[in-house]
Amino acid sequence: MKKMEKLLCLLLSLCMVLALAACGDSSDAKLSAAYDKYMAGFTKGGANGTLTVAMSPDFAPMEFYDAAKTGDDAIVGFDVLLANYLAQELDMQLVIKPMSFDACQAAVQTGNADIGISGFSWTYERGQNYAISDFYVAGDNETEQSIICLKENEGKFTKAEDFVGYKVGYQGASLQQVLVEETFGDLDVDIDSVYVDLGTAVEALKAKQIDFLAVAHGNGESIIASANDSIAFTGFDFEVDDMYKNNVCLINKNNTELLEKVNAALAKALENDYYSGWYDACKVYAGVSTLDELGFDDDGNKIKE
Amino acid sequence: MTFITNVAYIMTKYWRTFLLQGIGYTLLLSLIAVSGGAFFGSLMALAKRSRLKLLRAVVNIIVEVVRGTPVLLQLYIGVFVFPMIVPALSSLPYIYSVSIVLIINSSAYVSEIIRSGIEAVDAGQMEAARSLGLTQRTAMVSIVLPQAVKNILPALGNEFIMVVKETSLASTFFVGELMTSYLKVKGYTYLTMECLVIVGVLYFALTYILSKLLKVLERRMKAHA
Repeated sequence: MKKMEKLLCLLLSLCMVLALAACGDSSDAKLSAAYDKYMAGFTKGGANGTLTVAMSPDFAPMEFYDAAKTGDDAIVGFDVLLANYLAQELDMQLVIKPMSFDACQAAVQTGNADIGISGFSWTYERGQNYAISDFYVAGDNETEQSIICLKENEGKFTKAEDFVGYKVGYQGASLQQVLVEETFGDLDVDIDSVYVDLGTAVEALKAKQIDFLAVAHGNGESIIASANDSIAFTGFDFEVDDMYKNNVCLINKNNTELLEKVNAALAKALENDYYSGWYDACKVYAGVSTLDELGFDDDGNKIKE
Repeated sequence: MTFITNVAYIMTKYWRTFLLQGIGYTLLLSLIAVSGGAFFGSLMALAKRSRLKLLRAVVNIIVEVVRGTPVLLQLYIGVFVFPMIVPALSSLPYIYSVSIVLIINSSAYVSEIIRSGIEAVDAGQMEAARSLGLTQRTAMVSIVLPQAVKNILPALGNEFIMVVKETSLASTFFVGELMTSYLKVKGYTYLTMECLVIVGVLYFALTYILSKLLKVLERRMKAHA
């Protein structure tokens, strides 16, 4: 028993040391500069009631948490900018409800949230059960769909036939599932590895339980950038039908009024080309690109295209 | 080695998310669930001993349904269906619905703990008290219950520890407890194993300290017996 107590003391003191070491917390204000600028530009607190948005904030750079911020501002990312934009256009007050990816769909279906914005792609089944908004374009996050692998296989696999005999994993109920099934369904590729979330799938890849992992290109960049030096792109990109290339919002089937308003706002955003600036800002925020690379100065002003 | 440096990096950057927010909300939710559970669980245990057949039946159905379905499913129903019944809930953060579900869940288990605790007291105690001329109520309150409490407390402590771990399921709705901290940090860093290890150590520390405290409490109770 004495030993156990010593072990516990050790663990706790380790926690304390780490916590103390962290007191000089350095939040990278610079990373969020461009993003914060966009956020500050939105008019908040509209008069037409509340717009409740269901979102699964574990999916950088589309939506994720910034630990340095508190309260409702802590959820950040491309879809948060879009949600703020929609609330401004509809003159409504924005409420973001964070929950897991599949709970987002249940929330919209039960009317618990007005709209689901969480990097959803169009699929036939979703079209049957929800009112689907027009497309919005999150940079190249969805237009390019790729496969990542351990560093040693980088660039070696370029066409579908190369994957015969290997295990390709993907996140369940995602666009990647559709693509993997379409591309490898007829080939002798093991596609039985389905994961609830991307993080778990990445661990499986690192542990060599799967050989490859299908991801949206933007997420792939995030995964590779975040200290996982061991991972790289295979060089294989899926052929993506236009209907899959962009994201959509899910709205309750009975709420045609909201659907029309959202579509009008999305059309305006597309016309004025808001999306690419938002996406670049979020890529910087998520640590995928630097401000300089994407043509921002240190205060987050766009200085070159 | 990169694993340890990654863990250190995560802790330096996100220690607030884990240590303040995560542990704070986990303890808050557990306390709400257990104290609510103890209160309503006692009422339900009383109802189970009531003479009204209907009341007994209702409570039995609640207990069986709650014990027979997974907590995760109950949380989904609580979060999405309760607001349809009680519209006031829909404008509140999910932590309210989640707390209600955890209280209901915990009450069902606590009511069973209390029932079995009372039944474990020898029937002779009640008979002796009654033959000495005490009323049913006085016999229950001053003879049977004090003995039952000694059976009940250790099991109640176990329930508390179970609840601490069960709150992790509430992370489906990002209410802020430890497992939510894990989701938040790994969603940004994609360092899943590292975050899991941190959260695992913290959960263990919490439950270990709790079980130690409960042991001390039990020893005290025995000393006063």
